[in-house]
Amino acid sequence: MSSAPDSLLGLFQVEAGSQTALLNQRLLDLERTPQDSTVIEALMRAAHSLKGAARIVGLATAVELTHAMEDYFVAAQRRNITPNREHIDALLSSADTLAHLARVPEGEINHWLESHKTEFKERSSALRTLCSRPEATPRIPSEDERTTPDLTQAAQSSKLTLVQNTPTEIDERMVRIDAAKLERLIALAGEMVVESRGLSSFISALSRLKRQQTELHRALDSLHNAVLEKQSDGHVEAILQQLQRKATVSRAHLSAQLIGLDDYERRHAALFRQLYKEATTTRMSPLAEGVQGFDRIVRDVACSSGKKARLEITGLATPVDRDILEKLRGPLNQLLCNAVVHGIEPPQQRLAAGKPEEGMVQLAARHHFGMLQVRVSDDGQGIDLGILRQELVDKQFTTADMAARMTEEELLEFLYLPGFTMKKQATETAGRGVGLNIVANTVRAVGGSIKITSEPGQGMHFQLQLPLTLSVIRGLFVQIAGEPYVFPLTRIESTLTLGKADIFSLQGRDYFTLGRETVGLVAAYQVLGLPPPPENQAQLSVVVLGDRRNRFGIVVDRILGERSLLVQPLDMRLGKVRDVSAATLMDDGTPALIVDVDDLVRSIDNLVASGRLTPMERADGARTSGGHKRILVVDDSFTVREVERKLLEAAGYQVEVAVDGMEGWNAVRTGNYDLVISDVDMPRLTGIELVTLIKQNPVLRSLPIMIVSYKDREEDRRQGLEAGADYYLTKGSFHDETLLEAVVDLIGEARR
Amino acid sequence: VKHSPGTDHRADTTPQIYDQPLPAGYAESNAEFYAQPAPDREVADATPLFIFRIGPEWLGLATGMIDAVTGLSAIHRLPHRQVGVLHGLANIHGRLEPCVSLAALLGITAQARGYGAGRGHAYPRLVRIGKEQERFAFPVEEVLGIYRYKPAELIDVPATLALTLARYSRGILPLGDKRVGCLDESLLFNALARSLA
Repeated sequence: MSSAPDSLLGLFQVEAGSQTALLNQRLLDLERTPQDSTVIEALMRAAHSLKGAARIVGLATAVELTHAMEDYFVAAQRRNITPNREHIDALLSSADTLAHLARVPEGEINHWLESHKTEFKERSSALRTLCSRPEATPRIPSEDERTTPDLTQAAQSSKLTLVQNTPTEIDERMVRIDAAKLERLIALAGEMVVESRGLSSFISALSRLKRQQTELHRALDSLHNAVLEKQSDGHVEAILQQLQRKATVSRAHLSAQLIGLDDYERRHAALFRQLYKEATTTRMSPLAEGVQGFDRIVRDVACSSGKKARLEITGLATPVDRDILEKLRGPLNQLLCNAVVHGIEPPQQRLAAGKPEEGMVQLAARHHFGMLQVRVSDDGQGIDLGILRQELVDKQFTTADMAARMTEEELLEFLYLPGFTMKKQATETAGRGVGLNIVANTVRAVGGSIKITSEPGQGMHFQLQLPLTLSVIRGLFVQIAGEPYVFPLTRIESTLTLGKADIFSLQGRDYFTLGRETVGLVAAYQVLGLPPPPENQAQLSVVVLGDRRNRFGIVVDRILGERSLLVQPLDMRLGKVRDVSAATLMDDGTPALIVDVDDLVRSIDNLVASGRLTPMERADGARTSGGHKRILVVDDSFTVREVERKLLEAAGYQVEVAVDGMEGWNAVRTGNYDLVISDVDMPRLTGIELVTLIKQNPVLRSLPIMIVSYKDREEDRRQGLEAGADYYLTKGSFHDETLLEAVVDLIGEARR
Repeated sequence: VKHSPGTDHRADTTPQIYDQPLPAGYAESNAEFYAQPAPDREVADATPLFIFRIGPEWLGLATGMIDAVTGLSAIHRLPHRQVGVLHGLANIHGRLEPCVSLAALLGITAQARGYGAGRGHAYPRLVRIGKEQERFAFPVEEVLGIYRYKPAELIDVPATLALTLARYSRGILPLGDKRVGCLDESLLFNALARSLA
């Protein structure tokens, strides 16, 4: 979010943005109820305010267009003109042009207006033509008549609209605030919660003090008794009594203070928790902010496919996390288009079926059991399961026999498949068979689910279940290589503890069985490129991840427990950290990293494919032991990689591979190699860049690097050596002994 | 002249340095230090320098660079980023900051001689430097305090250091029996920024 603009032009754009949104919405109302004078009046006001604002900042072309719009509404109000679809189309395009103007970067406005001059002219004259058709001869007010009062009115209304930015049912006051500042406030509120816990340990220390005082008091009592028995003099007796009185007073005092402090701590902690909760809710926006323009989309799609449909939205005030709202726009858009294109029938067909001519698409949002539930339904034809079955068989997704036995739910699942469509002909908006696939993927990516139900002849329902926020997730805290990590709960299949007897091994790969299925075991520290954990557990704590195809058991040091956490994005400067999606703070303020499960599964695939995976038992030794020198081969060609690997392994070297410069750079920083052999031309990071990175790194600087390239010109060779490579070899040389000889020259024989 | 922690008039630019509670024994050791007569030097147009120790080396950074000093807390390593200057992430006032190792950057490998456990008065800290989006945290083994010096007091680095420390040092400030390497802020920032990606 940016801060409020301070220039006049910027203010105009803010106003243009909100007024065009209002125009859009009201124009759709107008289409439905062309005679509604309150709608026309609202439209007239919007066009009028915008005209005044455009005049203040001196944008003549915009003044002209808004003036034409205003005249149209004046004519409509006087019943000189009856709005119809053609008119609404023209008005909507004008509103679009103005909305576009609102989004042009401020510095480029004049240039943009110059290049879009004709567009403005066309739109204005189109509107003028509508007004001057024979059926209507509106009196167009002259400029002079209306100019004078305009300025003050416009100035007033522009102030007003700045405050009420969103023309929706929510008329709460909104302020703009720097997003980074907001994040900072949330972080501080979180820190307060952590800090407030410190008080409770202070209180327990005081409680100990109180117990000690009580013991002291008892000791005094027994001393008193002992003295009394010995019949001592009154002086000692008096001193003892005085002591006891003092002790009683101080104990009472301490008790009172302790109770007060305890009370204070409880209020404090509750207050901080509340502050934190409130702070995190500032990330929420009403649904209304995310669905602006949807009614327009439904209308336009309906128009272009020769249908009549309107959108009804309920639950506009439902608070939704801004990040989710943003991600949800695309999928909802797609579902609405689908509803109109696939669901709603053409008007005649609807009338024949005894339905109202105009189809109804509904979008409803609400909070339900701690989730956000969004429902998109239409009252169209639904899906005929018989036809769907036939379609599946025709397109060879399944056999006729299987299709006949599938339940409705199973059949509808096929709609998500990429490339599957029920539409014979693809249109601009739907029917290409990618829509639902993308919808389902997006919804799953934010940890949600989607369910389709169909009532043939009555309509379709899409029900989306989404988390309320992306910034607070449930996670499983585990310890990997001695440090805390978090797995998002939605991505975990199960967790379990395995004894040594539960683990089997095949071809050096460890696995265990889960029912009838075998699940491969991978040590988490190894995937993450971390040193092995200090202690070796007798029992293995395993987190099972993955999909049906690839399921892995991730072995962690231990499982710490499950709880809600606030997601903190990683510092932008770090770039993408492999296998990590974000970070969070534990209750005591210790940082923990949130595992990027998709990334992790890919890393495991790589680890397995490159043969670097080591069995659990030997895992600790494998990294450091060896006795064989370790070489990293970086090349984007599979063939070259394998040829080099075979050659080097035959000579006794331990070889690992990376498929491009970036992966090479990642590997080199974790792998403890004796030599790097790299290609030059590679995607993401070239060999030259890789060499430069290595040679600039104070720790890696002394690592020998050999470049192997097809380029054998002198300048290529010079470029490689200048970057810091220790040896430059041309490809084609490794059929002879050149490669091996060069390696031996650089790092010696394979044995240490 | 050494300024006592509570009265440093630059406190407004380094607001969080002294926010932290003092560990036990810290005040005593400081009092002992202040009890000795202050060295005789002029204060006028002297530059304040924040002095800390890493391994056996005393280093100084312009006080304006220092953003916060906190107790040493857990530094979380980053997967696949185990070699180099980047150390991990540390929590400083509720915010996760990239934590770097100046020892790795400056090539300080030697262990402290006669410092640390034996001496008993070293309190490791996390120091955060920089502003806004350009911040780094790094652990130090000890913070000495803020001293003022005049550029003329600096002596040149020896030629043998030219390969390592000199890359980041503007000069050496003799301070009693200590020699403090004054770090070049812009060069340091440059190198740290590059170390993150």
